[in-house]
Amino acid sequence: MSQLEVLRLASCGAIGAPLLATAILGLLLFTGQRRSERLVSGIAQGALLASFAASLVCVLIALGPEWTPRRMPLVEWFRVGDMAYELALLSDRLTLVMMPLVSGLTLLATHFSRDYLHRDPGFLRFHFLVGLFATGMLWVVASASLEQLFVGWELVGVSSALLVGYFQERRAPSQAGARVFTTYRLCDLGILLAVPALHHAVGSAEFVLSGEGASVHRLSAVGGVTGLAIALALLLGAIGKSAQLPAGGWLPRAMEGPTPSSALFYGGVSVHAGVFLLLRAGTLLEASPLARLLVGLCGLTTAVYAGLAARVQSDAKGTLAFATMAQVGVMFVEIAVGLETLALVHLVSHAVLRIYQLFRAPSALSDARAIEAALANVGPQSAPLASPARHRGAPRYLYRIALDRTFLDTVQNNWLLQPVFSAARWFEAWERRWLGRIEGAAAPLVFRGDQEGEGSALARPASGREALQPLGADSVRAEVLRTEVLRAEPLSTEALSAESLPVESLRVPGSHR
Amino acid sequence: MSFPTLTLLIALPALTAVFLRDSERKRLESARVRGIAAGALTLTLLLALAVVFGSDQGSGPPAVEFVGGWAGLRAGPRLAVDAIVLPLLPVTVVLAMAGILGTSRRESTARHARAVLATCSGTLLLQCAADLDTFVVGWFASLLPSWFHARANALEDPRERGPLRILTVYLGLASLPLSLAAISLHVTSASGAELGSVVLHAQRSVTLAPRTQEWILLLLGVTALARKGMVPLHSWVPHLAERGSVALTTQLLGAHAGVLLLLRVAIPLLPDASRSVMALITGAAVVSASYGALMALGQQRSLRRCLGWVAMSQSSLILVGVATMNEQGLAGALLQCVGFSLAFAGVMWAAHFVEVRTGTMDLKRLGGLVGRMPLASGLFFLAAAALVGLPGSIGFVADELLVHAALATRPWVAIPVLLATGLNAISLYRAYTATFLGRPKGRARLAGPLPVKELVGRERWLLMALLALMVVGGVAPSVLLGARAAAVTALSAAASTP
Repeated sequence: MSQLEVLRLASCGAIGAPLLATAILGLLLFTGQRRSERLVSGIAQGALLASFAASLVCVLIALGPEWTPRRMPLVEWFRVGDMAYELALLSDRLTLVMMPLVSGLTLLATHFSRDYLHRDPGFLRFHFLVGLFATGMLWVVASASLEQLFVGWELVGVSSALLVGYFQERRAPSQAGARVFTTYRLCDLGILLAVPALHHAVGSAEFVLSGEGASVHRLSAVGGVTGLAIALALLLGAIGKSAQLPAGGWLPRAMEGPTPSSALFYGGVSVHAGVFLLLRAGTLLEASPLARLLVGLCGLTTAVYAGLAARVQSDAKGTLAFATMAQVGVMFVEIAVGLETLALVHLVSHAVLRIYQLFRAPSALSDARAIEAALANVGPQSAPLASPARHRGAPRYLYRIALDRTFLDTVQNNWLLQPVFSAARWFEAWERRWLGRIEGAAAPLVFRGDQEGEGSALARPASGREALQPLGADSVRAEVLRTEVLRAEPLSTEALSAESLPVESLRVPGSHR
Repeated sequence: MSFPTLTLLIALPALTAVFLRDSERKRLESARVRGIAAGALTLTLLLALAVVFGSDQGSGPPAVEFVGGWAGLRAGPRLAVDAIVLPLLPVTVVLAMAGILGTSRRESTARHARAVLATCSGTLLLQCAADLDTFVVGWFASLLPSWFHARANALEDPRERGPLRILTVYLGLASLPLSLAAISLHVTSASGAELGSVVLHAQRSVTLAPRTQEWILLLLGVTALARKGMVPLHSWVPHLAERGSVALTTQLLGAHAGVLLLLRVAIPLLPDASRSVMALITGAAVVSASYGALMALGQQRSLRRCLGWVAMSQSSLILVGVATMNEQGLAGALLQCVGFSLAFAGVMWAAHFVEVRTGTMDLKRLGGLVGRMPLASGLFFLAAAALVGLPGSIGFVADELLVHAALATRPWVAIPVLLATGLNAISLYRAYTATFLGRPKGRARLAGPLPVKELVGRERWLLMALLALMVVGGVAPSVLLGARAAAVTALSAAASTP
C-alpha cells in the first residue's frame, strides 16, 4: 500500500469514524431505543478516538521527508453538463493542524460529558449531535473545495443551534438556539453566494496551491470588483461562525447550552471556523486590499467591544464567551495584516486554553463557593465581578456602554427586525382582507392581537350570515373566541379515545358556547 | 399489441375511487377505506416503478401508448412518459399513499379517499399526457376532485363556503386561461390535428404569428403562475395549507403542473415567445420567493399557514430554474420538484399529526411537545431541514444547481433567491421551536394519563419513508440527474436555439 493510499485511508477514517457513530446513535435515537449511557458514550468516544488516531497517522506521514501537500480525489458526487461536483480531501499544513485538534478536543468533550451529563434525559441526543458536529467540522477542515466545505459548515451550524437549545423544556435555551441558527443561516448566504461566483470567475471553487513551495491550499485569487465581492461574501460567512461584529450577539446567548458543548463549540473549535475559512481564502484576500482592511476592522472593533463587555459580565461563561470573541477578533486582525502562521498558532493555543477554562468553569464556581463558605465572611472580600467598584478610574459611560453591549442588540432589533416584522404584519392583514372579500364576509376582520395583546393573528367571524350582523366589540371578541374553540376542538377519534379527555375541558374560558 | 401499462397506472386509483362506498359505521369505514385505497395505491406504485425501471429512456422520443389504440383504434388520448416526468410518477403515488395512511381516523372517510385517489389519477394523466388535449383533461382531472371535496364540505358546513369560493376563484384562474390557450392553438395552428405528437418531445414547434404566440404564451404563463401559486395569484396556497385537507394540499402542490405546463407545452410549442417571456417568469418567481419568505417570517400564528408560505417561497425556486433554460437550471428545477414534494409532504404531515393530538395549530398555544412526541419533533425538524436544502437532502443539490444556473444567466436573481431560502430556514426553525420546545402548553401540560401521545406506527413509517426517500435522493443524486440528463440537454437545446 503506497503512502498516498495510507494517507487517503487515514483521512477517510478520521471523518468516517464519527460519521458512523453518528449514524448508529441517530438510529438509536429515532427508533426510540433506550441504551445504557456506557454504550452511548463508548460508541461516541470509540469513534472519536479512532478519528484522533487516524488524524495522528496523517500527521506522522506528513512528518516524513517525501510528503508534499496534496489533493486526494474520492468520488464524483454528481455531474450536470460541464459542472462536476467531485468529493476530495486535502492533506496540507492547515488540515494536518486542524484535524487532530478537532478530533482531540471533541474526544475530550465527550469524555467530560460522560460524567457531566450523567442521568440526563438527553444523554443520547447530546452524543448524537456532538458526533454530527465532529463529522461536519472534520469535513470542513479536510475539504478540497469551498462547496464541499459548505456541507460540513451547515452540519456544524445545525448541530450547534440544536445543542444551544439542548435544555428543551426551558424557553431561554430554545430562543438562544433560534438566535444562533438565524445568525448562522443569514451569514452562510455569503458562502452560498461565493461558491457560484467563484465558478463563474475562475471556473472552480477548489482550494489550490498558490505557488512553488506553498504548503496550504487556498482559493484562487480573483481581482477587481468580483474578487472584492467574493471576499466580502466569505467574510460574511466567517463573521457569522466566529461571532464577530456586527453578527456577534449570539455568542453569549449560546452559553445556554450544556458546558461540554459550550466549551467545544464556543471555546474550542466551532468559533474558530471563520478564522479557518479566512486562512483558506488567503490568496483571495491578498488580491483585495479593501477586503483585508474590512477583515482587520471587523476583528479590531470586535476585540474592543468584547474586551469591554467581558469586564462587566456577572457569570464565568459569559466572561469567557466575550473573551473568546476578543481573541478571535485579534486573529482576524492577524490575518488582515498577513500574519497567517501566527493566526494559526494563536488559533490552536487559544482553542486549547479556552476549552480548558470552560471545562473548569463549573468547578471554579463550586470551588469559590466552598472557599466563601469555609471563610465565613472572615477572609478578604472582593467586589462582584460586574460591580462598578471594580472599574474605578474608568469613565462611567464606558461602564454603561459595556453593560449594554454597545446597544448593538437594541439597534439590530429596532432597525432591522422590527421593520421586517411590521411589513410582514401589514401584508398579512392585507392578505386576510383580500381573502375575506373573496369569501364574501362583509364584516371587518378583527385583529386578535390588538384586542388581546398577544400577536398579530387575524380571526374572522364564523360565517357570512353571522358576519353581516352588527357586532360590538364584546360580541366580536366572543365570536373570535368561538371560532378559535370550534377550530380547536375537532379532535380525531383516535386522539380522543387515546386520551379519554372531556372535550369540555378544552373550551376557552369565557366562551359563550 | 403491447400491455397498456400507463392506462392501467392511471385508471387503477380512479377505478378504486369509483367503487369505494360510504359506510354507516365510521370506525369500520376508516379501516376499510384505508385498506382498500392503500392496497390499490400499492399496486399503482408497483406499476409506476415498473414504468420507471422498464422504460428505455434515450435521447429519442418515448413510445406513445394510445388509449384505445391497443384495441385497434388509432385515436383517443395518447399517453407516454419521458425522462422528465419519470421520477414524478412514483412521487405522485407516494403522496397519495401518504394521503391515505396519514389522514386521521376522523377524516378518513370514503369521500376523502375518493378525492385523494381521483387526484392521484388526474395527476398521473397530466404527467403522462402525450398530446395537448390529454394534458388539458389531466389538468382538470387533477384539480376537480379537490374542488368537489371542498364543495361537499361546504354543503355540510356553511362555514366552508368561503374556502370553496377561494378555491373556485383561484383554480378557475389556473384553468380557464389554459383552456383558452388550447382552443387558440387548435384554431390557429396549421398542424392542430397533430398537436399530440408535438407537445411532448420538443421536436417541433407550432408555426404561428409572433403576436399570436405571445398572446397564447401569456395565457399559459398566467395559468402556470396561478397553479404554482406565484404572486399575484398566490393567496390560495397558504390558505389551502392552513385550512384544506393535508392530503389534497400536498397532492396539489406536489403535482408541479405549472412546471410541466412550461416544460412540455410552452417551451416545446412556442420556443421563441418562451425565451422572451422567461424574464417575466423569473421576476414573478423571485418576488414570490421573497414575499413568501417575508410572510413566513412575520410572526405567523398558524403553523400550517407558515408552512404554506414557506412552500410558496421554496416552490418558486423551481420556476427560477426553469426560466434559466440552461442545463443546470432545468436539472436543478426537476430535482427540486421531487425534493420539494417529499419534504413539503413531510412537514405538513408532521404538523397534521400534531394537530390531531393537540387540536390546534396556533403557535401561541403549542409548545413543549418534544417531551411527549420526541420522534415527531425530530422528524419534523429533518423534513423542514430537507425543505430548505440541508446537505444530505435532495434540496441541497437542487439549490446548488439552481443558484449556479441563476448566477450564469441572471446574476441579480441569485441574491434574493438565496436570501429567501435563508429566511425560510429561519422561519421553519422558529416554527419548530415554538411547536416542540419550551415549556409544555395546552394539552401537553395537562396532568394525568399522557394527554398527547407519540406517533403511532403508520404515522411513524409514513414520515420515515418520506425522509428516507429525501436522504437517498440527496446522497445519490446522480441517479435522478443521470436519468434525466439527455432529456434536459435536449430541452435546453430546444429552448436556446433561435
